[in-house]
This record gives sequence, structure tokens and C-alpha cells, in this order.
Amino acid sequence: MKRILTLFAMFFLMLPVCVYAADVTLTSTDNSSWQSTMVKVGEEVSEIELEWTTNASGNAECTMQLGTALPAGIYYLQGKCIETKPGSPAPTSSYTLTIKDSYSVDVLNGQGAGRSTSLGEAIYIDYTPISPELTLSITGASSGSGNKGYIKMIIHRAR
Amino acid sequence: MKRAFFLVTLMMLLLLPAMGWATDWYCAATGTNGDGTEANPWAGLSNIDWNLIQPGDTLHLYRGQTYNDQGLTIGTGGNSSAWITIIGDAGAGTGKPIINPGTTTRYALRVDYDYIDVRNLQLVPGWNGTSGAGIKISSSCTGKVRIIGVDVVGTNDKKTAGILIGACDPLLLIDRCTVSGTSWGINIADNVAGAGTISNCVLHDFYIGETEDYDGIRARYADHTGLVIENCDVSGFQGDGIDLFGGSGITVKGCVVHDPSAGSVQGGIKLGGTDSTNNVVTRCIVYNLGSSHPGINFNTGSSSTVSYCLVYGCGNGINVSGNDNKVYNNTLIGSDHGIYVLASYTGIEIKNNILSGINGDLYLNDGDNVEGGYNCFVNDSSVMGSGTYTYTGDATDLYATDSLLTPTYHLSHNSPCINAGTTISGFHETALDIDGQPILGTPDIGCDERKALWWDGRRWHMQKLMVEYRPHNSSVQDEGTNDILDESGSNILDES
Repeated sequence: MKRILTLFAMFFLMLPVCVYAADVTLTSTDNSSWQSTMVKVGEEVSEIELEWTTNASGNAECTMQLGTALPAGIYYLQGKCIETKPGSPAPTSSYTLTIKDSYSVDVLNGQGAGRSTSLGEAIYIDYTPISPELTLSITGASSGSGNKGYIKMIIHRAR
Repeated sequence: MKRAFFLVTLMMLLLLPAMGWATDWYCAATGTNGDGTEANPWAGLSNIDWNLIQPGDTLHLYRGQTYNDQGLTIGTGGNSSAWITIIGDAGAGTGKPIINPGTTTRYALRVDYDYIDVRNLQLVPGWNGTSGAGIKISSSCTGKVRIIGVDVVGTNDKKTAGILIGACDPLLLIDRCTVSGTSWGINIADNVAGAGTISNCVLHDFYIGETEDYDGIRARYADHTGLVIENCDVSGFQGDGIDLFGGSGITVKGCVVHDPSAGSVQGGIKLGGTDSTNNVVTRCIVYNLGSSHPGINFNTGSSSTVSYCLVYGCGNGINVSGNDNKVYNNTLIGSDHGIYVLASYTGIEIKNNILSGINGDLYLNDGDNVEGGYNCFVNDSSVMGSGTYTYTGDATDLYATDSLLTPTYHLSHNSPCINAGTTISGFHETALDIDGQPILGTPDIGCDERKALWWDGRRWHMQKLMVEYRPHNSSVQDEGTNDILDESGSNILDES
């Protein structure tokens, strides 16, 4: 039992993605460690799924710190790397997703506006290096708290 | 009491103008010219009233708009506590604002002042009939400039540069920028000394219609102590991927240099020049340069170190010339010599390296004096040479039929290189392997320190595995989509 607990503790300690927010939770840990089966030598990919729940203002926000336990490298988005979908209860109005880097630049460059309240949607990104710290914001999803949705991100890390 | 209150009020009133209030200014590409407010933005870059913009202010450009009336020539500066920010984040459009001055201006962005912070723009180099560039940081300032998330997209048909730097400073930061379709990538002007950081930049697909010595990143002929070039990806270049000839005090770490153009290629990372000293190249990957181009070239520079690098698919892995250079813990899979030491150099240390490949040997020349040892020679490679040379440490060298590397040149669990190196005092205490892992205990030979788990004092980390390289601009990738496969070959991205 002690060994199992130790292994569990080690597993969670190794998660390289930290999320800081009350209204966003990391829902899928299956791929939240850096995966290296993918694209190139020195490149790894992390798939992260977040569930968000609106606060009283109908918004949700979190800060993600990528790679705190890993060496530096080029973190970037490319291709079909962001997906959004509604949860239950779904957002009541079309909402905006922004993903801002440590310099407050929306790396989606406005493409996160007009998210559907009923459909899963993808966002395609040209090759865009990002900072390891990102702030995800959902705005205008509802007029009150408790509405939910999901964001899936594919983040590349090359070094 | 009344008097004291009066004096305090007076002081506050006097201080208010000095404190200032940060103001947001707005400039649209076209439309009716206004007063620079969000409600009535300036129309066109030529209408920006720089007299109004004060330290601490932010100038916003509009996403999805193309500015083509002229380049953005910044007309004022900030101060150490109040930078001026120019950012492409306004409006409901999508995509970075594009500045395409055509032939109206030589530079799409020109910075002549300090404490300037530019973020999130796409630039098409200007053209004056002879040359042009995406960004010019001129010698009129002292280099206290940040350029972040700016893409320079050349037209791939004329001699232009991505980013020209005429002044360096520890506060200089070029971060997360991309350059393509130009002749040069990022070029610090020759003889301009100083520090700075160039990080997380991707430079690729250069214009090769010219035959001059163009490079991906260049910092030459000056003391650049404190200059760091970090985590940059350079491909499609001619000349050198990273050229530090005549530069000193430069650290290049975590960079990937690969797949040059079909133009006049010289090498991957070039140190060197007789005035060049105290450079560090570490944790870099250089590959696919072709059989006649060295991966890393000391090129007569001295007292420099190349460590924990991976070189494959090149000519010589590392060319060593100049005195007192150190070559530690590299993995060199060469199509020619693993390490080639030119004649008559002394004080050279070559230790803990894996040399493999067709002629994966260590080749010495007449008059060389090399302290070696703990190198792994694979598949009949060995120390070779011509003339009279001195090589010490051969008793500790390792000869193996197979170094048992993974397909990505990491150590397999049963590699003879594990724990077979030697600890180099003053180096391994702070060294990181190619994956960024510290060296614990007896170092392994080569660029990879194989540890199943390691503890950094706060948490455990797992040894990572690597796989086949596919450059981001490879034709293997789909337009607009990624094919990212898991171990079973399934695409982890749902394309449906």
C-alpha cells in the first residue's frame, strides 16, 4: 500500500502542467505529461484538456505554467491545436477564448472569438512560439455561474 | 496643521505631472484620421503623433489589418521605469497586424530609441531599391529594446534581412520571433559589442538568390560577453546557421541547426577567428548539413567549449582549431571524421565523446597536442592522424562495436557508455545534458545522461525518450493540420 501511495505521489509530482484557478480544472491527465512519441528529435507534445466553469460574471480564467519541471525549449502552437466544446450545462451565449502569453498577447490573435455553445470546434494556428506561462480566459459564456466547457490544447516543445 | 496640509497638497500637485499616467493610443491601417484614441484612432502609420506618446504609453495596432502607407518608424523612447509598448492586439479582427511598406520605407520597423517593447506583429521587409529589412534596431539607441512575437516574412525574391541589430545591451531581447524568405535571419552588425538575448526564434527558408555569406544568426567581430542565443531553430540557410566568427563571450545553448538551403552552405555553428575566445556551445543539435560541411567549427577561436551537443548527417562532426579549446560529452555521428583537429594546436581537451559513423574517428594533425580519454569509438573508429602529434589518455578510451544508441541517439539501457565517462572538475558540477538533465555521479559518455529518474530537490523527473525528427516546415506535414502519432501509429488529433 505504501508503495502504491508513493507511486501515486510520484506520478502527480511529475505532471509538468500546473493550473492555477478556482474555476478551471485539469480534467485529463492521461496526456498531460510531455509525450515524446511524436514529431521530431528534441520535440515533444503535450495534450492538455481543461474543464472550465463560469464564475458569477459568466467568465472563467486560469494561468498555466508549462514545463516547470522540464528543461527550457521552444514551446509552440501549430496546426489544429486548440479545440473547444461545451460542457453540461452548456454556455448560454457565444463566448470568447483568449490565450495570453506572459506579455499579455493573445496567441490566438482573435481566433478564439465566437465559440459555439453547442458544437465542438477547432482553431488552426500558424507556427507560433509561446511563452511557458499562459493565461486562458473565457468571457461572455453566460450571465452567471455554473456553465461549463472544455478546452483541449496540443502544445509542442522543441529544444 | 493647515500649513502642513497645504505643503503636502502642493507637493502632490507638483509631482503629478512627473508621475504621469499611461495612455493607450490606437492606430488603424486606414480610415478617417482621428486623435489616436480608441474611438478615433490614427489612420495609417504616417499619422501617428509621436509627440503625444509618453514613457509608459502603449500604441495598439489592429489585428487583421495591413498597414502599407509606410514602415513603422518609432519616433520616441521610454525610460528605464516606463517602456513604450507597441502591440498588435486591437480590434476584433484575427491575425497579427501586417506592416508591409513596399518601397516607401527601407525597414518595416525601425527603432532609434531605447526602452521600446514591440509585440505581436507581422512584417514584410521594406525595400529601397538596394536592400531592406523587417526590423532595424539602429545605433542611435543603445539596444534597450524588446522584440517579442514578431514574424518577418520576406518575399523570397531580393536581398533583405530579418532583424538588423546595430546596438546591444543586456536588456536587448529578441524572443519568439520568426524569420523566413529573407537573405539573413538575425544579424548583429559587425563590430557592435555587447550582451543581449536571442531566444525561441525560428529562422527558416531563406532567399538564396544572392551568393554572399548570409547566415541564420550572426554576431561577429566583437566582445559579446553576456550574449545568449538560446532555443533557436535555424534551417534553410546558406553561409552558417549561426556565425560567431570573431565574437567572444557568447553562449549558444539549446539551438537546433539543420537542413540548410541548396545555396552556398558553410557549416552549422561557427565559432572562431583569432580574436574569438570564451564562447560556449552546449546542448545543441546540428544535422543534415551534408557530407562536406562541419556541424560545429571552432575555426581558430580559443578557450571555448563545445559540450553535450548532438551532430549527425554532417561532414566532420566538430572541426577543432585554436588553442585551449574543450570538447566534452558530444555525440557525433559523422559521415566523415567525428572530430577533426587541424595542425599545430595545443591545450585541447577531448573527453567523454561518442564518435561513430562512416569515418567516425578522431583525426589529429602534425603538431597537435591533445588531452583525450574516456571517448567511445564505435565500429572500428579510432584516433588517427598524420605527422607527429600527441594524444594522451588513450588507455581510458572505449572501443565498441556498437554504442547501443536508440534511434534518436540516446543511450540504450545496456549501452557501454553508461557511467563510463570521467568527471571534469569545474564543468560537470553545473552541466546539463542534451535533455537538460543534471549530471549525477559518474557521467555517461556522449550527450545523453541516462537516468531512469532523477531528483532535483523538489520532485522526480522521468528520463525522456526522443523520436524521429520532422522539421516544422517539412513537406511531411499537412497544410493546417498536424499528424501527430502515438506509439501505436494512431493520430492523437481527432481529424473528424
